[in-house]
Amino acid sequence: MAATVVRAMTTMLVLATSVAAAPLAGDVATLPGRGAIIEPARRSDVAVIVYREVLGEIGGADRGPTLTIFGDGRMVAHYPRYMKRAGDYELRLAPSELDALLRSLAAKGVLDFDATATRAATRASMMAARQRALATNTPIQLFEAVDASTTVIEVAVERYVAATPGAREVRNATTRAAWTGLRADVDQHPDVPALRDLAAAEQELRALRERAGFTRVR
Amino acid sequence: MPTARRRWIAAVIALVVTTAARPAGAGSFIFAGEGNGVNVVAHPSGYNGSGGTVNVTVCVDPTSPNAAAMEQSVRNVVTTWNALAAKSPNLLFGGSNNIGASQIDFESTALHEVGHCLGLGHPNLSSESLLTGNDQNYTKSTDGADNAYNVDDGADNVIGSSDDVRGDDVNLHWFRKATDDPFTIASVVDASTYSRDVATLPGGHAFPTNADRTVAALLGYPNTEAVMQQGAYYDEDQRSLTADDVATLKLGMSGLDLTAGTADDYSVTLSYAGLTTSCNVILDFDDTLTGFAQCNANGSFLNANHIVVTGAHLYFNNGYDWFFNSVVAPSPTPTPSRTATPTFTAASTATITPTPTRTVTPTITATPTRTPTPTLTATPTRTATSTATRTATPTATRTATPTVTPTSTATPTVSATATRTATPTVTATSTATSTRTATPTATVTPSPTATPTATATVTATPTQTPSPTPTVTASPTETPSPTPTVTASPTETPSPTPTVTPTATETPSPTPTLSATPTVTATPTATTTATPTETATPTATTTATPTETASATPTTTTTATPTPPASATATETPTPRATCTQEPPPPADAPITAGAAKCKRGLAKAASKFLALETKVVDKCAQAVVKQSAIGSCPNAAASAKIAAASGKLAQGIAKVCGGADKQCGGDLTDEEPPAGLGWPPVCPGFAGAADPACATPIVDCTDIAACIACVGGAAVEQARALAYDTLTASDPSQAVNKCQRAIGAATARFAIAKEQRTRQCWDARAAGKHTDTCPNGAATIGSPAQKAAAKIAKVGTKRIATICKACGGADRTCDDTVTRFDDTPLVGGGGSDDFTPAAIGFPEICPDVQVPNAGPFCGQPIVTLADVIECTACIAEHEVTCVDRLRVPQFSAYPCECR
Repeated sequence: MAATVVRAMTTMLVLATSVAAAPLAGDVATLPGRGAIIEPARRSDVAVIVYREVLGEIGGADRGPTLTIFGDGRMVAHYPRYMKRAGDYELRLAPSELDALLRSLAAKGVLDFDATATRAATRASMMAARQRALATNTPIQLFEAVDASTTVIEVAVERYVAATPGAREVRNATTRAAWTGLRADVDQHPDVPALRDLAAAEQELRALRERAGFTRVR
Repeated sequence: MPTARRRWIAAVIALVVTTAARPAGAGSFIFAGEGNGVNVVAHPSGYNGSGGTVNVTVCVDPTSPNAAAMEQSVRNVVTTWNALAAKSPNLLFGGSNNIGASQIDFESTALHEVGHCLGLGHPNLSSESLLTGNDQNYTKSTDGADNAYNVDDGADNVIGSSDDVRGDDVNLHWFRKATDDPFTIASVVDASTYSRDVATLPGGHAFPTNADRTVAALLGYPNTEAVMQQGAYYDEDQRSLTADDVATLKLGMSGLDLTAGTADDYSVTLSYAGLTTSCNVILDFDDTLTGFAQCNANGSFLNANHIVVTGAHLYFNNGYDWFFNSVVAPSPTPTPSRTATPTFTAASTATITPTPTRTVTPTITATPTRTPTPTLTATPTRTATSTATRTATPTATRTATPTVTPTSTATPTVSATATRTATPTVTATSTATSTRTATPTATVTPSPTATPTATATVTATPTQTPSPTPTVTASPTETPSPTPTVTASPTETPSPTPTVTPTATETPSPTPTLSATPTVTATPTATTTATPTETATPTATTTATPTETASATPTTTTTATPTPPASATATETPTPRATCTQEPPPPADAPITAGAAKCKRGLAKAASKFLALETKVVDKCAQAVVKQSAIGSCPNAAASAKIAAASGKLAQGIAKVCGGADKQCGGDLTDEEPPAGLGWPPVCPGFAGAADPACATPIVDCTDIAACIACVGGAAVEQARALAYDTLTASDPSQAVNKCQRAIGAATARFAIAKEQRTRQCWDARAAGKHTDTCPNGAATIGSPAQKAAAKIAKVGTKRIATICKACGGADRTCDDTVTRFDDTPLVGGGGSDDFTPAAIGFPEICPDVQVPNAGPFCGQPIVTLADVIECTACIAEHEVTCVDRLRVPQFSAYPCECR
């Protein structure tokens, strides 16, 4: 049962076998969603956006609330049984709202999130802080958010072309942006735009999950 | 700045620059990792490298939601960390704790998070590794030079055990060098006995063992897991530390030199500062800062390998169904290797605090204040003629089976979960030492022969460590004088409100040797806290057998006759789990076509065939994987193709009988009965626990009915398959355990198919107008279709049990324990102890907690024996089959709410 597990923090890109894998642009400082071409599947059985909060200290299979948005606009908010709102709730987005949401997520870099580059940026941020401490003869300030949740945003599209110049067309792809301790890291590294943008995307999805009008279905 | 200091600061910066580590990686100590150094040891706030006591204050933000509710749990957490007592088992589930079925225990979570704030990290890789599933349970490490975690669970297939193969991952978990057993602790904890270097592991160990619950089971410590291991579960009480937790904190306490007994050693004392924000560790509910619970810790370097926590803030999210324990925790006895048997888990805590000084006068007065019912009555008759010196070392064993009565008897306050039922047995062992001193001039009240002015001082110091099965041992030493006056005022705070009425009998004889029966002569003052819904009727039994030696010749007779040897019987009514409300049968439209009846029967038959085939295909796939004739997960490609084909046949079969004139669902609707006329709801109801929400699709025509049956049926089959196969311990196909594993899955699948088919035949008979019973029904008229179906199902149920017992029951080919068939018929076990254990088989510790439809039992029971495995699989099969069965006969029965 040997297995080598690569850090899951890297953005996962799953492509249909018939399409040549094309790396997405990974400039964390840009917002490639503006002007991008995004075409989701419009089917009711295809999850276009999945937003999960994977809770750090919770074990077991159902490790946090999930918002799933299907191609027909149906949103299902799932809350595990140990939450006050335990159950599944539904609400429908208009097609135009879904399109706007996808564009907004793309504009925040979710479809192009590069975890490796973002990690490097946070490392640079920390290094700079330590060097400042050394220069000013002040103690290095350490910080750790232990058991923080992992934010996971997955977006499935039938066709996507980033707005960045030269971006290649990608078909039938699912992008996955994941980060542990996002809220705390944004505070610690305000100089890393990718984190700030991802946090903004999460905030948008969370607000959607909390929107009034959801009806409990189970 | 000193050169050396600048050098290590530069080194710290270099670490960040040269490694690919994330900014902060937790280890066995927080802050340890590639970023700050793998050898980093973190210390609690206040440690500065000098020895002494490090005082850590813990407080609750007064503006926080739940502030008041948190307080007792926080106090308990402080008590538990201060005691540094290791315990095994330390996990209590279900009816063994006072937590609701879907609740998360705040105290257990806070215990873990406060550990982080003291500097402790996770023993396992945990979520920050961004690995998924059980891979997070590998022992804490960095990801090594290849920037990828290498995770191979070795020959035993247990993640986190000593044979894991971890490639270039760098270990961060400090382990006991002599044994690599995290469930034991060395008498001295420092770098001489603990190490992070895998080169110092015992022979044959490839990587350090961590204190995960699965590893614990492997090593013979059931229901045990380090508090600091990441991963809490609902309905789980983990309020006691394990050896690994204690050892890690103690390692830090060996100071900067990691050598115990030197000047830089320190001890840690936590104290609760109350509702304030002026403390070292602040607890606060703030949904904007955490998704669930986390410790935000700040720190600074003491030197290159040591970091001190400079401040910590614990945040909790209020969106969860938290359980706030209001029961005062006992002060654990710091006995690292103590093992307790968890027979009492009703969150009871008893603290006996006897008044250390007794004054003995000729009259003994016992003043029990805590006994709701019993009254401690001391009727001493003592005659002393001279000075007597008496030494008593009594031992008392007290067993109480309390019954908690909320409003009536409980003297003070009983705090407990109102809705839980338990019948705990409390056995407490306390140690009491009393010293009595009497002056010869004692005045003996009732006794004419006593010399009046005798004074005796009795000091009792009982220590009670209530555990699931606490035992109280009292060892008082008395030195009485002829005229003793005894005044004892112990305070006991038991829960769930055991009322103990000790029986104390003291019989000093004129001869130097006295025999006293009771030891717990202390007049206890009990404080009981209970939630209003509990009923306490405590009955405690106290038995003490002291031995006294008196050097006097008085005619002293002291008899304390406290009301009866108390024995309390506590019946706790467990919080019943939330049950759903059954919906009435759907208001089916009256059929509008002549073929509706035929459609219903044909539909049910097609569904039955599909479900049987899918069950067979999936089980065959899983069997092949266990037998190692196939690899991967199930259903694999071949199985999926078969299921897809079966799904197509299902749709065709339904279209044929329900599609009307054109035998197509939709399209030409001539003679095609709409779903409502068949009793079907407008939306497919889905299946409990199904990962695919797509089941809940609209039902417009019979194509949608077919899709619904395939979706719900698939989810149900998957639930059963996952239980039977997903957690199995890998084994060689030639081994007996492999055969056992396959037998469990295969026999259960066969049972599910048989039950499903028998039930379908019964419904078909009803559709044909042959009876009106619900199917199956063992209580129906003998010979009726419903009764016959029940009988046949019982028969195959028995056969299933026999098959599994034969394969898993060891040499005698029978199960050791009695197995209860699902219809409550007990099938007596063959005794012995040679069954394969659930751990050896590789079964979950808790059965999935679904409820069998129509207000049946909940399946979520602990799995300890093979019998539990058999009963759990039966329960899940019952849930599965009943749900899919009821789905296809909506005209007879509403889809059970337990299936949704």
